[in-house]
Amino acid sequence: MSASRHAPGHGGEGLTLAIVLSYAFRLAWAWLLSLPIVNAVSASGLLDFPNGDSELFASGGLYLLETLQRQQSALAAAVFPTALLLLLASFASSVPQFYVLSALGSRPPGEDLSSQGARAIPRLALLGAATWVVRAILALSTLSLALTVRSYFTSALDERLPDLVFVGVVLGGGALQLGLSLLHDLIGTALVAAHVGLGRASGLALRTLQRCGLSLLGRYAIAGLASLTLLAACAVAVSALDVARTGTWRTWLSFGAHQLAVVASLLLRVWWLARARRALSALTQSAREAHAEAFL
Amino acid sequence: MPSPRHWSGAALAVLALSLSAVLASPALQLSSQQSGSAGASTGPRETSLPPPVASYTLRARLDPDTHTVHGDGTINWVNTSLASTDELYFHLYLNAFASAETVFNRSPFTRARSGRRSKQWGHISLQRLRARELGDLDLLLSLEAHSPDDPEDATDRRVKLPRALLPGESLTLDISWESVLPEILERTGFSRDFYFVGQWFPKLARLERDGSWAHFTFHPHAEFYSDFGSYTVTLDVPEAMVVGATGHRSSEVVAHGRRVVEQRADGVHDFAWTAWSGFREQHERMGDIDVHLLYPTGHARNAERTLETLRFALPHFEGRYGKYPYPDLTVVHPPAHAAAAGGMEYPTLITTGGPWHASLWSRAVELVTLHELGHQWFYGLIASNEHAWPFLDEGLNSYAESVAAEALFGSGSASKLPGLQLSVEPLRRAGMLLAPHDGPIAQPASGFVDFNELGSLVYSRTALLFRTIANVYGAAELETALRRYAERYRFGHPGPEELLRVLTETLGPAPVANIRGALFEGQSVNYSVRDLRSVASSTGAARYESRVAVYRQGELRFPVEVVLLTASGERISKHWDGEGRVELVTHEGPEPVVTALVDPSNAIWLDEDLLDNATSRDPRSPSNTSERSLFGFQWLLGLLEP
Repeated sequence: MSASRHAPGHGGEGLTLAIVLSYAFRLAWAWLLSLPIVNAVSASGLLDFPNGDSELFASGGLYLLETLQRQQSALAAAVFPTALLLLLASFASSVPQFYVLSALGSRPPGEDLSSQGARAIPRLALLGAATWVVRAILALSTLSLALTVRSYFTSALDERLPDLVFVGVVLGGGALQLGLSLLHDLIGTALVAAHVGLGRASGLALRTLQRCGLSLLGRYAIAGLASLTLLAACAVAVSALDVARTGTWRTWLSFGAHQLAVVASLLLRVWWLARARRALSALTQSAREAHAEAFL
Repeated sequence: MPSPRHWSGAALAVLALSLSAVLASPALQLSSQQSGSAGASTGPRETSLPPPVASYTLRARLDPDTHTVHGDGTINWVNTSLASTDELYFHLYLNAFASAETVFNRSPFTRARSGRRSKQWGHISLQRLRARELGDLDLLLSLEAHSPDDPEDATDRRVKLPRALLPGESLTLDISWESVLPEILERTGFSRDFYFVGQWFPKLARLERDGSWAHFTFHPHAEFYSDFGSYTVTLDVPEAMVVGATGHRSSEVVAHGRRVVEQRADGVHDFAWTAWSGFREQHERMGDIDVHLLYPTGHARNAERTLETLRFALPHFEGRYGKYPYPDLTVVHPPAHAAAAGGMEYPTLITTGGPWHASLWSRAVELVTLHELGHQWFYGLIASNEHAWPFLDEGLNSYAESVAAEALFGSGSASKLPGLQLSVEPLRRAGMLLAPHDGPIAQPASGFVDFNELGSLVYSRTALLFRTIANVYGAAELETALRRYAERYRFGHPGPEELLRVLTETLGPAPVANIRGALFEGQSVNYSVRDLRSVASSTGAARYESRVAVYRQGELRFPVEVVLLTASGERISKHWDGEGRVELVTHEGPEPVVTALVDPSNAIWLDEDLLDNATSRDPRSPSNTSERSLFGFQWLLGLLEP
């Protein structure tokens, strides 16, 4: 693979378009997923009240609990379809993921975006499915291990000990899940950047991890922590807005703050993927150089 | 399980520091210094106590190898009724746990309050029962099953006397017995080396004023009822165990590997105790009451929250329902493996509960402390029949608890999660709506289909009934009435009619008609508004006539406010006495009415459906719901991208 032999990438414009596509994808799916909740609230009678659904956020939780109780059958009926839609959305996210990864670099000569997508998107979806299977096995194993280890400490006099041990194991499992996510991102990036199949992409990802795992982990952690910080800051800001009080502007400001957080988290993810791609490129570059030296 | 964010290093550091503070506290050092000598006795408070009717002098030795309590002693009983009696009734409550065939355990669909079933049975066997005034007659021979609910039941036993005992006549009974404790369930038994020992001795039923015995089978939904008396109880346990018990400690001696404590309590109607080597202790004097808190290792934060709640709640309840007349209050927080011992009230001893992390994220510890402390009045001092009229203790106490919680925490009294402020009342309302409303609240505990129905009607609906009465007819007036009830019937064993009599005197007949209907006839109410219409006035002027129908379904009748809102936000308030089935509320003005609302301040907590209380010609859009759920799913999708 040589960058000079490849068609130029999408450039800044292409990347912006890919980010917009990712945002629009999430917005559209989120809108679809939120419909059962919105419909349940609309059917509850709450919108006839002068404060409308602001009452749901009022201190004390009277109308929140009342609405949940009165609309519980409608909401319960929506759980399974919502879960299915979420699963579908998870796989469908391979499309915007491909566009972002593709926009971060160049394409092979003579191959347009659609033919590259036709090859890479199913692989990304397969990678997603495999990741979910591993994730589920890991989660079950973690839970089982945590419960088993906890059971050894249940007769401890200090009641915190078994719970702390349990949480310790779960946190360990959580760290492995994050590692899995990192690996998934690296393989996905290799799939698109190196135009290879899943097997070779996995090999590339593992070699990249071997070469600069610590620095990649640091960058991944920075992106993740920054996202969480954004979420927390957003929660504080929106809580201060107090939409339970009258004023449509509160809702609009709340919407603005939330969407800003979503966009920022998307940008953080793109930043991380760009770093992952750079690390992969560095690996392939040094491999080429080693190959050239051997030839000489 | 707690989520990881509750396990921050800072939180653990605070917990560790709290624990260190507790371990180093002068109170604990004082406690350890007292070991082996007579404990400091403050003596009874300057408050009148009832004359003793059934007094017990007992000695009990705990054998931890067999989980057995060996007991003996005397019962001094006086016939304070107006009639002579030739029989005695004993409650042998522990026999409820004797097998799978007892009334307590028989139904596969019935679970006790703790929701548990015993894995290891327990029972009580009376080995000696002699009456001194009857020539040391052995009464064991005439002990017979006589339960009104079940002839085979062994929790309720009758003793036929050879002659009638006249009003005012006394009887001294010499007893010995053996109590094999079950694995902990329904607030009694053992769990590992922890013991909570309640309903553990042969207990005389109460002879009512008219000469009838208030005796009953120990039913899984029911609690207790008995006479006041003086208790002197000597407890003999392994030396390593810390003991907490009803009353105040008059002596404590450690010798030969055993700890022997003597507890004294006057003017109480039950005695419970706990023993465990794992207890931490804190002692604090609150006013002139010595509070003793026993809790497991790791619960320092819960302990602090419990004490802080008590510092508020003792004067709060005393100010409303009269002085707490005893010198001591013991609070027991059982360990997690003995959670079934939690949330229970005995005279001068309550149990709380909750995991070690409960205080980090909820107000469960504070609320259970408020509830169980409130029982010192609505059960302990008033001493109503918990089996026959559970609403008199649990219902009134739930109301008292929610008033106290609101005074202590304000809105959001039930939770302290950021962004989710839940109050006690909405949660009670959710509980109330779980069960149908057509059953009476005022019925014996055994009459409820299951404990969920009892919980919904007795705890939740009663509390919300009284909250509604306070909102509609005046909180101060209701508090005055409840104070009168608590003072007039202190040590008085009142029934529902005594409560209603006091309420009528203070509130008048209309509120009490509602209370009676809700309590005894399962009456309910639902207000709703429909058919809001506005038309241009026929006079030709630029005016509009508006009309809305306000309905009252159900038998309860509360006056309500009806509010009409115009497009420009003008608010027109109307009053409806709530007497009819429907009220047509009209308004004529320069603008049409766009929204109509009944009970805008949510005064009527009993309203079956709050969501039909408004109607609008211009409903609001679900913009906040859309916005929040959209954002929620956007984040979820971000997380679900593999």
